[in-house]
Amino acid sequence: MLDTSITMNPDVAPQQIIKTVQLAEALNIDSCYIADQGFTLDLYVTLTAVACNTKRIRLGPGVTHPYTRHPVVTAVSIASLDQFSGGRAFLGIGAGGSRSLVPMQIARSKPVQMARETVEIARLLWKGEPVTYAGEFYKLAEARIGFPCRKDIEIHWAARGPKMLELGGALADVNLLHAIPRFELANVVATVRRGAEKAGRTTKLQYAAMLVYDDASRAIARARTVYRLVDSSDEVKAKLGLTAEKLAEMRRLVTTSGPNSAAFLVSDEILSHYVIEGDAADCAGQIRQLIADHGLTGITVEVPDPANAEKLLSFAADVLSRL
Amino acid sequence: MTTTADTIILGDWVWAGPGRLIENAAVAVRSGVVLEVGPQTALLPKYEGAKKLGGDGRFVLPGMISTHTHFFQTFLKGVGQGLPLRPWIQKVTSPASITMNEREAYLSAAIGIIDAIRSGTTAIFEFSYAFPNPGIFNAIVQAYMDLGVRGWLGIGMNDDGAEHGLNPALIQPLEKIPSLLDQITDSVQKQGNGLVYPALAPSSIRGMSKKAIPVISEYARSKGLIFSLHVNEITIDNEVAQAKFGMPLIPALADHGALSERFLAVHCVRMTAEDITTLASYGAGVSHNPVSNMYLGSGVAPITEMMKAGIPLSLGVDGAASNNSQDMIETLKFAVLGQRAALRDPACIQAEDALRMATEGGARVLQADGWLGRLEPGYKADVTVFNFNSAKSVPVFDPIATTVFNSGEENVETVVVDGKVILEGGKLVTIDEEKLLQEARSAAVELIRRANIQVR
Repeated sequence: MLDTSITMNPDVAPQQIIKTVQLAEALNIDSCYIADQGFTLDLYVTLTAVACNTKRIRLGPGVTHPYTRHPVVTAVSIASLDQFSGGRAFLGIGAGGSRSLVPMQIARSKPVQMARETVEIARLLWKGEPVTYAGEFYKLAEARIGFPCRKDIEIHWAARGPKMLELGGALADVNLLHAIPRFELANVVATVRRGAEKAGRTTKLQYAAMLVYDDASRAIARARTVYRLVDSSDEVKAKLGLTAEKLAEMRRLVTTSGPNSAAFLVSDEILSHYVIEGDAADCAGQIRQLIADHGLTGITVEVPDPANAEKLLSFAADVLSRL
Repeated sequence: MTTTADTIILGDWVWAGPGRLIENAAVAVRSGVVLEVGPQTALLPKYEGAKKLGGDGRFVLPGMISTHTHFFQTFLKGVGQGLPLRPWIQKVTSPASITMNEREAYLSAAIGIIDAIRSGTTAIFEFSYAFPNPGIFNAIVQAYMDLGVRGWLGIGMNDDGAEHGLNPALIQPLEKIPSLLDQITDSVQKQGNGLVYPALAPSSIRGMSKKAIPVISEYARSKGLIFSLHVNEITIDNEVAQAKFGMPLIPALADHGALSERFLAVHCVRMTAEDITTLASYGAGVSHNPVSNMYLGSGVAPITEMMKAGIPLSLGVDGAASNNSQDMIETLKFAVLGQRAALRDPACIQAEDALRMATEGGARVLQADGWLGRLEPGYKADVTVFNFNSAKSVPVFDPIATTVFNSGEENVETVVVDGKVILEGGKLVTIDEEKLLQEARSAAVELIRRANIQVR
């Protein structure tokens, strides 16, 4: 059975976020990811509010990162969310993106090690025992969570760089394949699998799809693609034919005026690598092909505009029902 | 040898230009140019084979020239209504202008142009913002071309203004501006194919550094382009100029080489006697936007004073976010009534003054006098025909007063640009209007959503 989920930024009114997740729940979507973008509504406040207004859907960051929250804070937050939601929480983690780190002027140094330590610490703490830990970045002495918590809270991992991908395979329960151009998917999946094999474990592969079904959804997708281009590896940028000049202008516009102002720099050709486009049958066909080609275990539907998600979610439900 | 005309436009009245109203007259057109204007009795037999437009009860006049608008704002009609200027710019116009894509730019321009055509407009000066996406300029030119209207595309630019709330996406470093302008003016010229002309439209003094004024002025001079600027719409322009140049705006513009006959000052509401004398001495033109000035509570521009000083005056509708239409007929009426109300003097301005500003005046400030704005032999055949057969207009004793005070878009029957009919029998002939309106309606809603603009 395919795992289904939605992912969104908490950058609209609180009631709209809750309404959108409730709608996803009503459409039998399994999980919901909420992004940790630093300047939007807060991740954990939002997740808690959503938890209190839903019954079944599973909830977690989509994704958080180790640069602005101490691993203990993250582990305690997730365990708390798990308590408030009746065991529905998971920890989604990645390396952090420019959208929050650039304005905070935080350099993304050693993301692999930072993320690894966060996951290790969280898992140790969730066992309920005192933890003493000596990592490169974090050290703990007899640290212990003071309330009962679930030991097997899932780790969902989002990565793009090869080392992060391999570590995700080795560490995570679910690898979220997010913001990856389709021509990179085979490489990415192979890298994750290599990590899992080395560690002697299996991992689930959840592919995040941006669905485009009309002019409006295409325009939104274009703006949302800006950050993923800015944050791509040099190889991907080169394959997409992004010149240094174009990237510099993209970076300037997106940091000063937001992704809408830079959307025009995302050509149709570039966009085509990041979206699933067509009517419900076409989109389902393309996704079926991806599942077959890459052994995906789940599909995440990106909700780029949670304030107006009804149309997208009903389209997505139609697509998912055809898989 | 018989003379031939392509088209002959008949009316109970032809207003060829200020002071020249001819009854039972006709305009003969050949190859996009006016061939002859005169009594029907003389012209009808002479141009027997020509296609006939107009007819009984019709008023034939030069197409109107709107010298100021911002097309993208047609998607913002009524949005942020009543907000003060700065939050309105930050929360409404900036997010829309930086978010808009080419299709939305095309559609917003197209509905603005249609509204203008339906009010008898045949030429429009679009004062564009400094859109980060240069493709927007091409989309606007395409809308002009598809609808068949003559246009000036004022290319927006800013190199300053973040402290005044200008969105950074709309600001470029000054050293980049000339090459950007080279690129955009060149592409507008090519795409515009003699119907759409590039111009410079560097927003306002808030968006320009001290160094930028001479650079832009020199660029305009060397390329022979119109240089349009928002001038003294409210007091902030003088305050900013005082801070940047140590003097009010108009003296600063004079000092830094901006003023000339190619300079088009928009609004000019807050004007001193010295300001008026200075503009007049350089022959600089003014675009009077009475509806917008009243809508935004900016005040009433001293048009009668400027008229006396000999400043070339024209009319503009301004963007549809502060009007909220592109209707030049309304603008004619507001231009007259605003002056009369402000001066408490019904004799201070007449209907023909407004019509002159909207035709010959527009041509003059755009340096198109001599070939546009009148119906005389050799002038471009840009013609509007009113049909006064409506309760609002009947009876007609003075067609000029009727046009200005008691007509509307419903009376505009035929519009001709460059000799080509673009509106006939009240129907657009260049595009499928219903289909376009439908697409524009939903595109505007989507843009507002995507740009996250609060409607109320």
